[in-house]
Amino acid sequence: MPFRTLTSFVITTLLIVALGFGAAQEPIRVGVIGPFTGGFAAFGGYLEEGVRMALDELGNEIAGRPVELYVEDSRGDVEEFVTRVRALHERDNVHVIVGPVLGSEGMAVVDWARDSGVPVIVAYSAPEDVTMRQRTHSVVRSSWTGAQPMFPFGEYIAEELGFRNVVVVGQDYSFPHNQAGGFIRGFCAAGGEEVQRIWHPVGVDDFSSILATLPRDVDAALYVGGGADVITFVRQWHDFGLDQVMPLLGGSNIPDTTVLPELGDDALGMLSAMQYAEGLETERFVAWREAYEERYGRIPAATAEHAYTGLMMAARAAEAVDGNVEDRDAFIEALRTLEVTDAPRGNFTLDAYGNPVQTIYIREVRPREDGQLVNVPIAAIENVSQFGPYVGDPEAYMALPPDSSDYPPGVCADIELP
Amino acid sequence: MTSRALVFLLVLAAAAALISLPWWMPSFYLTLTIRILFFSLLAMSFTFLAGQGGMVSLAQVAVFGTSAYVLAILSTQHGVAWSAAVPLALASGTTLAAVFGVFAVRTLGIYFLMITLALGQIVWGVAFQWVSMTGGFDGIGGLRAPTVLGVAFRSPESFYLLVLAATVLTGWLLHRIINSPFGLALNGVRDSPTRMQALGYPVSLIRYLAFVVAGLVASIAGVFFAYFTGVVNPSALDLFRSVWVLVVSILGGVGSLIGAVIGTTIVVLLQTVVSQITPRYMTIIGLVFLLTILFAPDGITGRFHALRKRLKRERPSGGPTIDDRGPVEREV
Amino acid sequence: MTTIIILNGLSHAGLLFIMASGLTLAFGLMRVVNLAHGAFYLWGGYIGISVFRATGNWWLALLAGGAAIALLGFIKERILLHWVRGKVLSESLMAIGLATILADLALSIWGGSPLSIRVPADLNPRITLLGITYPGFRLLVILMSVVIGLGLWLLLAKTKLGALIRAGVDDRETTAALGINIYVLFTLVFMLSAFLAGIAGVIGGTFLTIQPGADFQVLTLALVVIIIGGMGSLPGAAIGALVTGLILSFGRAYVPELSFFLTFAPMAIILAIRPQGLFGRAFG
Repeated sequence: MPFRTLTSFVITTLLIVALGFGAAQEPIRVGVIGPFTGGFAAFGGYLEEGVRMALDELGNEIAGRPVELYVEDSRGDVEEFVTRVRALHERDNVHVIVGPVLGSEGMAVVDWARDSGVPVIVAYSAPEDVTMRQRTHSVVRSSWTGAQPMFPFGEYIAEELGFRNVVVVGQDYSFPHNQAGGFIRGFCAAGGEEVQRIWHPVGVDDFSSILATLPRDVDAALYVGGGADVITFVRQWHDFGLDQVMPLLGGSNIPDTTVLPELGDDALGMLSAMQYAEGLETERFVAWREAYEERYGRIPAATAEHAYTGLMMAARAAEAVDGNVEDRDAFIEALRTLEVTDAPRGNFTLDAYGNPVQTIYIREVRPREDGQLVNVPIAAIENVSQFGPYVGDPEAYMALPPDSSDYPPGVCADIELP
Repeated sequence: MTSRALVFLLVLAAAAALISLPWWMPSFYLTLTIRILFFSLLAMSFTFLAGQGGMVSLAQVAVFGTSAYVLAILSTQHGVAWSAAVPLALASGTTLAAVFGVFAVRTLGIYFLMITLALGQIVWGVAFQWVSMTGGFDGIGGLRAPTVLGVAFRSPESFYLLVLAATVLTGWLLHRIINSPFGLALNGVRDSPTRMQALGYPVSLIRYLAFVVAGLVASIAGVFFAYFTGVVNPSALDLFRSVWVLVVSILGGVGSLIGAVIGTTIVVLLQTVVSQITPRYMTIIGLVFLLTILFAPDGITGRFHALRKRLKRERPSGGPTIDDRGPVEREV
Repeated sequence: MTTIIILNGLSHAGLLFIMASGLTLAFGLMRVVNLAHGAFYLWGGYIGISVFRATGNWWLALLAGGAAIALLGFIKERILLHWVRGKVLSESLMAIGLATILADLALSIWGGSPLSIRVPADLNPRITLLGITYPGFRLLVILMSVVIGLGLWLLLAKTKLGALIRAGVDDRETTAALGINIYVLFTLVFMLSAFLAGIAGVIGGTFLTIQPGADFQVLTLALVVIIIGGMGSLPGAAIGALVTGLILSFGRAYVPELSFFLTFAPMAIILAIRPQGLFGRAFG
């Protein structure tokens, strides 16, 4: 389309002339996209805070070039997301996107990046296929897949606590399915016997019927999901007296920073696993956490750390190519081979598929000195891959069906592990 | 030059500009235009019902979403070719409208609004909760526009031309319907159902047919929406979108179909621009809407007509407002 | 098991009744369906949560939520509704605009995470009956809805204000002609209706959660309740709330994938056979 090329050429030329700058001062344009309004706005808030904090630390400059930030609101609506992500590319011409936090957004961004080739660093969105079956070269993660922290969690529960039978309750969609799938594989590999699963639609404000029919002859229950359902579930767990019957384990974002104040004492002592723990006491993390709290007046959530790290990854990769982010292939190559040493949560590298191979923390909810509840790491399992026990043979894992409401099977004897 | 020739030239120039758009417009604005077009179709289905039939429906988005879901489910889960999936999607959306119509057209005014709101929410609830069919919260992804006779509608340029053609054609057909004897009867039913009944018109049937026609229009919009987005999840048909359609249509003015296009264009552009300045853009859109209701209840096109009449020294009138469209109370 | 489902259904019905009674009351007199009722609920809930966090007193939070929303109702009625008085659709559309603004402002004040009041233990004893443990606060919700229902009935049936309202419902013009300032009456009733939405928000924010989107979820159910019961009828709202609450509860227990759909089934049936609702009058 020559006319369009001509139009953009004229506009670009005018801009350059008007600004009077050479190409060296041309800014690096970074797109940030996530839900800033609507039902998932909390995630968007942390996303933006994390990115801005990283940018400030960099002095708003990457590899000698100034940085321009373009923030777009997806409202948690996929259609809006698709339009906005196109705006970042087609209108703002960003060099890299740090963003999607919701599952549906993650899947949509892969689909789009496959055509556009724009480098994307997924900051929270957890569907494993973003860096597995649907992966594309320009998309990497600073975050996780749904099953990743649950492999070691299942092992820990079976090995350290000696539990053999667990019942999983969760929201009926892909992320909780994936969390349960990871848990089952780890649990079974470490000697577990059976995991039963009970699913409910998102947005149930009443769990009493599920709680009343819950099997009582198991060692523990595990709740997987997120959002408002977590608060209702945990509260009713206590209201209906189940806390007297068996321990309640948490999926990765059950005792999440965003909901912990609402759960209050009901969450005390709850075990869970994630690549992030706000109660981590390493020197690096404490400094970062204190700077964050100083700046924003609240405890950082995982999304904030992953967004911060995502922007740092973009910066280091840009430095590796001497700021020449226009050379997209080299930039993506640098991104994928990065040794990430800027992550407050701990160092990691990316696997061949673009997902971090990272430390997973087993965490317990405890009050800290000022009385606020935090997840304190009680064990750390290093170098956990998104493929869990299949780390030696990723292709075998990807050849299996994706985790669903009833896959992998819940009886450990029926599962073949490598 | 006569004014008739001038109008003709203007229309010709507009048509040339619209058709040549892909060759000169920067691609992001082309994307925005595609969005404006299929949301205009959705708004037209609302405007047609509200303006011509006096039925303010919050169920149009449910019909739109059903068509989008059916297309996505058939294409990605069952491997149905577009040539079968698209007609089936249109048929499903229209069927849903036909079922809802049975309940809805028995009521008028505010009751109609409430009932369509509730019916629309049922569909949203089903999309959200019926996980095994709709994918629940995740929705259905991986949908791609097909290649037909060598034309890849995956490319924004050809997709744009297709949406443009569909919007113009649908708009023209609706325009024909509005000016047909059926359209006049529909206006009559809107203004005075009892008199029309007395004159022997099948009042409920007329309203019902209008509801089904609007359902087909919303279903067409749903097909384009699904192909454009590639993912259909419950946010496609949530109440936010219903309210959004209502806002753009009222803002544009329900008195004419072009109001739907104008309202959609303004709000989409406003949203794109204002959301870059402040995250509180919904407050601003809400305020614009509130001011429209208070000061220009006949919308932008209504204001324009009033202005033109005044210039031509005709009797000044505020134009019809949404409340002049249809009796207030329900007939039982 | 069944006992728990029924009790849950009843506590939900209680919340829905408090919401729906406000809607139906305002409709009866003013012929206005306040589509911002859900946004009032949302704000009532958030304000109640904030007051509870500051004071730790649940009853104070309840009153504060109700009073703040009554004030909001006053503003809406006096300024906005006054402007488009008599134009029924404009009144409703304006409410939608207001609801959009209120929802967005709430998001900017209270954020997007779900919030909730942790019930003080003295209001929420674990009651164990016949081997079933049941949270006491839910029983309190049922009790409160019954008290509110009786209170509204007494107000309408036994007081002078109630007599005036009933007269206004029956014949607006004559009542006005008798020298009664019908607009003062409108404002009072609308404030009462808003007050009910406000306290429903605090109650909902205690045994459920309040987050963006809760406004329209609860509004939709309240609309279903008054469509079933008949617009403008208090007993209708009670029956509608009972039916909806119980179906919601049983649906969730036995067919979770279709529970939302089932909730609307009685509405469809009622619309098909008796469009004005169980206790509704045909207007016009």
